[in-house]
Amino acid sequence: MHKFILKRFLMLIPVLLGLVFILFTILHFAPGDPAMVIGGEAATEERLQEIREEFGLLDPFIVQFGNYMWGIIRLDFGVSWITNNSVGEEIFARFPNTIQLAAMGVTLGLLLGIPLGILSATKQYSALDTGATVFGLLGVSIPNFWLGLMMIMFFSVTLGWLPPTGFGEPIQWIMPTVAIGTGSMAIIMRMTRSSMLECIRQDYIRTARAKGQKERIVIFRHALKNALIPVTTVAGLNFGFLLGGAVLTETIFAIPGIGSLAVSAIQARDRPVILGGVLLFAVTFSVVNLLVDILYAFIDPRIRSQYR
Amino acid sequence: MKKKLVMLSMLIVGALAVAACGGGSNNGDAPADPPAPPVTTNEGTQDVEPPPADGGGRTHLNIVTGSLPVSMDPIMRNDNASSQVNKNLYSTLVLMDYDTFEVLPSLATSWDMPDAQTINMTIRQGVVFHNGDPLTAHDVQFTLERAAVSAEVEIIIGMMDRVVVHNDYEFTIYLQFPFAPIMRHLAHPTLGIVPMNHVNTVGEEHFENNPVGSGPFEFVSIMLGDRVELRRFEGYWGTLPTLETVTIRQIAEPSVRLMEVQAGTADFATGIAPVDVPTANADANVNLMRRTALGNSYIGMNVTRPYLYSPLVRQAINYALDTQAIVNAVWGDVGSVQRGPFNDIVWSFYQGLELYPVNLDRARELLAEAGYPNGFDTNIWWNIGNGQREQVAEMVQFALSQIGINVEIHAMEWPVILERSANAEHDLFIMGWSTVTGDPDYGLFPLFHSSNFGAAGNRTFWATPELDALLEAGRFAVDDQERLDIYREAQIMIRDQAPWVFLHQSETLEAVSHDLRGYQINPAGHFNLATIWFAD
Repeated sequence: MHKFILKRFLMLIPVLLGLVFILFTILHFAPGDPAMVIGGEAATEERLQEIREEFGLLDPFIVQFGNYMWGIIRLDFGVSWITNNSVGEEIFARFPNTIQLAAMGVTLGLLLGIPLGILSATKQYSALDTGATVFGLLGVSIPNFWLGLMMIMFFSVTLGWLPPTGFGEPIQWIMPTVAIGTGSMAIIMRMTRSSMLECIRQDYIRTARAKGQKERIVIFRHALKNALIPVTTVAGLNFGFLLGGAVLTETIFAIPGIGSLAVSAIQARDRPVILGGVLLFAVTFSVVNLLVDILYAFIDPRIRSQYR
Repeated sequence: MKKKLVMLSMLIVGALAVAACGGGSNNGDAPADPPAPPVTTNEGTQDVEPPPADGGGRTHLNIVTGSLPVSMDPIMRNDNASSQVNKNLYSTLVLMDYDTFEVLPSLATSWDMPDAQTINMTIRQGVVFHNGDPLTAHDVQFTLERAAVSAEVEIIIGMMDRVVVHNDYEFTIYLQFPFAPIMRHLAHPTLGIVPMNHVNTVGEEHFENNPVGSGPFEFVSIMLGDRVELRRFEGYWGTLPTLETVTIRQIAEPSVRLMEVQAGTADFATGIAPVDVPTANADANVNLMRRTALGNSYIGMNVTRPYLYSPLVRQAINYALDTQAIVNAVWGDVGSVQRGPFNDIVWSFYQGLELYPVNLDRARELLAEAGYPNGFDTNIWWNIGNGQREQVAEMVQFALSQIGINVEIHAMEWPVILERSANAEHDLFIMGWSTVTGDPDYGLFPLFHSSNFGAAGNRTFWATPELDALLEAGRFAVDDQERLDIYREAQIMIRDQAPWVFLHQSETLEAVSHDLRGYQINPAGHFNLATIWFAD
C-alpha cells in the first residue's frame, strides 16, 4: 500500500513537468507581444525594449523555460508582470478559499446526493423518484452563475436574509456553496441511483433478503457499499471540475480565490500568474485523484488486495 | 423573483442638475470663455451639498468596484483603479474643475507661467503627511522628478526637466519643451505628492503597499483581490471629511455590484452596466448617477493601405455609416454619438464641427472619384471579449456592403491587435481613448502626431505637416484664446481628412444608496470621497 502511494506520487513529477512545458510553450508562442501588454496602449519603443529586457523576454525560449523551471524547483513562481507581486504569495493567499469552496460544494453534493439517490433507487418509479430525477436534470442544466445571481436577487435584495457577496463569515458560505454544489449534487444523485439499481438486482442481494436480513441492512451494508465505488470516482472528478468551475462562482460572489485570479491573469496575459495558477490546479487535481484511488481500497477489499 | 426578471420598460430620466460653473479665478491658467459644457456639476470644490452641522447619518462608507488598485505608489501605475484610491490618499498640487477644465488651487496656493516652459509655484504651509512629516517644496521636487522618469506616467509628466526649490514653500518647475497644458497634467492623481524622507527610508517596494500621503484619507490595510480599508486623516489640511472609515471591495460582476447597493450592503457601486439601468431606476433605495465621461470609441483606418490612402475613400466610409443608428443599437441611451476627435466635454471642443450626414449616393460618388467605383475588399479588427465592438463591426460590415466595400470581420486578442496594428498590418479597427486631462493635447497629440506612429498611439498612421504644426503650436501657446483657435482648426482638419469615424462618447454610470449625499461623478473616473456624507 505504501509502495503504491509512493509510486503514484513519483508519477506526478513527469506529469507536471510535461504540463509546465506544454503550457509554457503555448503561452510563449501565442501571438501578441507581452511587452505591449505590460507597457499599455501608448508605450514608446524604448519603453517596450526596456520591458523586454526587464522581464527577460529577449532570451531564447529554452533559456526562459530553463529559468522558469529552476524557479519552480526552488518553489519560486516568479513575479506577476502586471502587479509586481510575488506569484507564490498571491496564489497561496487565495488558494484556501478555492479549496474550501470546492470542498464545501462536493460535501453538499455527497450529503444530499447519496441519500436522494438511494431513496429514488429503492422507490423506483414512485413520485419521489420522478421528483428526484427532475431535480437532478435541473441541477445539471442550471448554470451555476445564473443560480448564484438568482439567489443574490432573492435572498439578499428581496428578502435581505443573506449578504450578497464575500466569503469571510460562515453566513457568507451558504449561497456560494449551494451555487457550486448543486451540479455535483445532481450528478452524484444520478450516479448513486443507477449504481444502486444495478446492485439491488444482483443475486447476493436476493440471497440477503432470502435469509431474512432486515431491508435497511440489505440496502446500506450490502448494496450501498458496492454501489459507492463509481460514486467515489464521480465525486473525486467533480472536485476537480469544481476547482475549475469555481471561477464563475468566485466572480459572482466576489470571493478572492484562485479562479478569478487566473481569469484576470489570462485576460492580461500575465504569464507567471497563469502558469502558477494552472500548476496549482494540476497538482491539486492529481492529489485528489490519488486520494480517491486510496479511498477505493478502504471501501473495497478486493481493490486493496491489488495495491502492492 | 419572477418580478425581478421582468424587464422594466422604464424611460431613463437623465435628470441631472446643470449647475453653474464655479471656480474662483486665480492667477494661473484661467481659460477664457470656453464652450459651454452640456452636463452636470463640477468635480472641484464647489457645488456639492455640505453636510449638516451634526454630520448627518452613518460615517462608514462601503464601496464596491470592479478592481482594486494595482499600486498605491501613485507613479507606479496609471490605471483607473489605482488612481481612484490614490486620489483620496494623496494631495495634488492643483485640482481641476471638470465643467470648465479650469485649474483650481490645492496644495499650490498660487502660480504663474512666464512662458509655456516654466511654472513658478507657491504651496501652502502647515500641510502634514499621514506619518506627521511636514510637506515641503522638497517633497514636491522629489515627487515630480521621480515621476518624470517613471515609464508608467511618462505621458503625464515625461516632459518635465527639473524642479528648482527656492525655499520650503516656493519652487520653479522647468519643462524640457514648451507644454501649455502642464497645469491640467499636474492635477492628475498620479502626481499626488509623496513624502521624500519616508519613501527613502522604507524603500519603494514597501511604500507601494503601505502608502503615506497628505490626502483626506489614510491607508489602513489591503487584502489582495478582496478589499482596501481607509480611515479619515485627522490632520488633513483641507475640510475634514464627515466619513470616518471607508471600505473598498472588489466585485468583478457589474450586476452584483448594483445588487449590493440594492440590498443595502454597499453604499456606492462603480461601473453599472447599461443593461442594469432600468433596474437601478426602478429601485427606490438606489440613486443612479450619470455623467458624460472622457472616454470614447472610434473606428480608425490605416492609411498606409493603398485603398484607404485617399481622403475621398475615408470620407465615403464616413458618409456610409449611420453612427447615430449604431450608437442607439449598441449602447442604447448610455453615452452619445461622438462628434469630434475627442468628447464634447473636453476643453476647446468645437461645437460647430459637422457630423457627416448619411448619404450613400455621395459615398459612391467619392469612391468612384477616388478610383474605386466598384469598392474594394478590406477588414475590420476588434478585440475578443468586447461585445459592443463586435456589434459595431457587424453593423459596419453591413453598411459598407451597400457601397460595394466588402468588409471581413476579424476578432483578435487584445495583445495581438496591439502588436499587429502597431506594425500597420491592419485595415479598419475599433479602439478607444480617454482624454483624462480634459485638455485637447492629451486627446490629439498621441493619436494624430507623426512622431507617435504605431505603438505610441497613432495607429492610423495618418498625419500631415500642417496638423503636426498645429499640435505643436498648441503646446507652445499659453494664451487660451490662441489655443482655442489652434484646436478648432485641428479638429476641422481631422474631421475633413477623416482618418477616423467618430463613434461613441462614453458615459459613467454609478449607483449610490438613496441617503448618500455630497458626491459628484468625476468624468476622468477618479472618484473623490472627501465630500461624501449620509442623510439621517
